Amino acid sequence: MADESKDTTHFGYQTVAKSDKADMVADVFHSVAAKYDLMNDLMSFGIHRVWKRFTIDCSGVRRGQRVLDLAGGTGDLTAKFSRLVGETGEVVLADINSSMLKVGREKLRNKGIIGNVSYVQANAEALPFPDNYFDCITIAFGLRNVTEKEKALASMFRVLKPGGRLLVLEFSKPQLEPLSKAYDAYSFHILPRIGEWVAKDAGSYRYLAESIRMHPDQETLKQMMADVGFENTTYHNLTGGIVALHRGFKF
Amino acid sequence: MTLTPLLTASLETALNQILYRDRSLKAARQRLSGKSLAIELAELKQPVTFIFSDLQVDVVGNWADKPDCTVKTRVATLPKLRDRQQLTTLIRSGELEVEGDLQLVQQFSTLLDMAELDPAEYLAPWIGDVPAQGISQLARRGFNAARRDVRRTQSYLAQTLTEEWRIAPGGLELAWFAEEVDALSASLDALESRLSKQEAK
Repeated sequence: MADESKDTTHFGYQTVAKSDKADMVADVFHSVAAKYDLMNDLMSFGIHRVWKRFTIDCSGVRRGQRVLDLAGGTGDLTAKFSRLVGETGEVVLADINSSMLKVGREKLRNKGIIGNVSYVQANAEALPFPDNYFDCITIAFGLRNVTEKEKALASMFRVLKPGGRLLVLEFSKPQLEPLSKAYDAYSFHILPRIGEWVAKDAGSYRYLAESIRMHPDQETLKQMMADVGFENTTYHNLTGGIVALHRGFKF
Repeated sequence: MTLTPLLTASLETALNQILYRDRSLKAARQRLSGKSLAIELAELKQPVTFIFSDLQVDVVGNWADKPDCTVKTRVATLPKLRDRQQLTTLIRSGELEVEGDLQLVQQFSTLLDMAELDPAEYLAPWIGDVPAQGISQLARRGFNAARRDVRRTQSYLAQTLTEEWRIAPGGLELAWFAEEVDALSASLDALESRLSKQEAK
């Protein structure tokens, strides 16, 4: 953490005023929304699909449940959840960014996924839902971009039903030194090049690599979840810790 | 841990390609829609659950809900599932254990049976019917020729070992030897019983 003073936060490696971060993150995602899925596949060599699948396997959703896919972006998880909860269930795709939400809605409707999915533009720090509302909340690759993570986690805790679970899929700290070196080289030298070439935007992908480094590591995030009230918090390292899936319950 | 998502992902892609691409299978698919079928393989620790919906089938490694039907079997039995007539035989012989809605298994089996598993079918949209058929025929012929070749080489090698170099016994020799051993052990048994009878006197 670069700066912990009261009204500044980090945006990648820069230190910016807290009030500005949301807008700067928004600019990043307005810029990449159109090519988001293609870039995900290119950057992760398609492994992000396996990570998301593992998340679904850990979610334990049933028919008729209500699921919130927070920072759901282009709706990969929503599509799957919508089929798993069935017609009696409900999935809410929420994202703070209107461009991402539009791309997600367009994609899901084109796939024929309608009926039990609704779309909400919402800030994770102040979720516009009643208390004890969702059976399961997932936030995949989104927590990193939230300005005040504690506030967001507390807000998720509030809308989660007792017995419900929160799943946080997020980049984390690689556990092996050689892997970490290769990963650093890849994300600082090759990623921005791919970003420049495909999405015509190297800056956004430099931000991506930097924001991953600034994100709390596995144990810190686990502690943050426990601090806002989540119980039985655990995490799984995926692909050597490049990504970690944190899970916490509300009882 | 990461192996299961890979397995379910490839299974899901394969099943969707085979079962959910063809429009003619729609009626058969619709009967399955909204149902869930769990398959517990003896070789796998985790059951795999198929969730059928209108647009595709989802394969899930960890399904918290109670599936509509659970099938317990082993990998070797799976290909036989395509044949609907064998289904009851399989259940009776204990190779297949079904819990819940048996009709679901029958419908799934029907769907698998109706699906075309011809590789030409999948090539045709890309390169046209005639080349696709030609290529798949060529591939099949090549595959058969290769298999014949392997079998022939195998028999040559076996004959060289048993007839030419005589470092391994041939099939007949082995059978003869086994019979000789059996005969020897039988005569030994007879001798033993005779001996014990003599000693008892």
